[in-house]
Amino acid sequence: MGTEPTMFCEGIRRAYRTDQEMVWALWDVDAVAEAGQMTVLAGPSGSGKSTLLRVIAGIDRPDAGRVEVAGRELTSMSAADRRRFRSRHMGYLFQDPAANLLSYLTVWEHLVMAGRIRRAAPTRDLLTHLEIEDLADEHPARLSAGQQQRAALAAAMVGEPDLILADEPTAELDTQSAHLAVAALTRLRDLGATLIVTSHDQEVLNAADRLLRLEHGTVKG
Amino acid sequence: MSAVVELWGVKKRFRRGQNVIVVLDDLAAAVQAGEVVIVRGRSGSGKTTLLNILAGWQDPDAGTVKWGVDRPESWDRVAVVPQSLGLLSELTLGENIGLPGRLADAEGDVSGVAEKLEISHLLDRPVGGASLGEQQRAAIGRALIRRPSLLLADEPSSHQDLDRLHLVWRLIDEVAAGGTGVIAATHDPDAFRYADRVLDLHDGRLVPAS
Repeated sequence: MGTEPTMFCEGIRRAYRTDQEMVWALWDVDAVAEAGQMTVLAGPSGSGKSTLLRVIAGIDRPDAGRVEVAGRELTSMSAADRRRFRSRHMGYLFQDPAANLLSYLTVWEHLVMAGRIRRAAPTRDLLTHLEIEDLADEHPARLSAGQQQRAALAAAMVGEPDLILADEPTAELDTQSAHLAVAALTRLRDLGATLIVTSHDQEVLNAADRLLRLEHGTVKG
Repeated sequence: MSAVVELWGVKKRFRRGQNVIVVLDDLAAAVQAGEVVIVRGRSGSGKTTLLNILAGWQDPDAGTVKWGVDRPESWDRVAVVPQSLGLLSELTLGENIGLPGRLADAEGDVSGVAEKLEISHLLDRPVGGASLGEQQRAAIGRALIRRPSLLLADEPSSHQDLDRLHLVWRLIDEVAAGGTGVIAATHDPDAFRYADRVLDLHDGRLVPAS
């Protein structure tokens, strides 16, 4: 008997409204993320992959459809409950590496804070796994974009949340840093994390256990 | 009086495309315990870079920064009010104010600080449930909770109405009277009366305001 997927969503529709029109960013999207796998949402710019990630994270509420994460239905929760659930059960990485970190906290303090929020004790091993153990006492301003991204991934992993979501994690990195970021993502997957990552970077796509291609807001395979 | 921070010959350059931008150029300054120094400067003049260097978050390309305390790693030495505020949305306002204490496993008088900043009634609220002005006062409370030797504040009253602007600066003045050295970047002339010195960051150097 198979286990329940960590995340599934069905019939997701999400519209953006302008003064003149309503544009469907997502239309009847179904998706599944199995535990311990890296699922990559692929597709060109404007395909709806980042919108889908925000809906899965509970940042945005869909206009139709349902999202379930770790057995909890997100779409019926209030915004405050979704935020609380997200902070305890999910790690979320924005595309801009600096946006994931607070300027006044060291790398290690980010892990301590994530631990307080998820009621878990961080370990230095996480920094070692992501090859940033020497940077534990540094503030974000001293880190490269790639190091910032790996520090944010380490904080996202504290307490082993049910789901780690990353929006275009290599988009703002040079080739070498992007390579290290992909290695960090697969390392977290090997440590047992369930990841959902949006990307159009071939190296990220190659590392996927499951690939979901989006085009004009619908799943193409 | 003793200097809480001194800078000599500080230089900082950034490369932007083919161009090298000199942000700080042979900059020298010292701030004494109990002194409030306001720094003015146009947008892009290097105020944030200066504050980052003073916080120990960035190294200068040349020159020396000497703190009157050990390396400014903990909030009881150097505390910062960033312009972006940097509150954690997962925590309540009260938990954000108490954050430096929690990180250091130390107690802090959250309710006392909140009372002075007139946000006592908001301590259990999520960050998103407070106005920007209230959030800014919480960020100030977070910086003051451990009674730092040096307070660095980037536009600390930018989201306040006039009454609350004076509330914020009176508190900064009170903290300085207790021995904290303060360096604040602000454009607000209503704040200048609280400063012992007003300096302009001009062409990468600090000069007395004209």
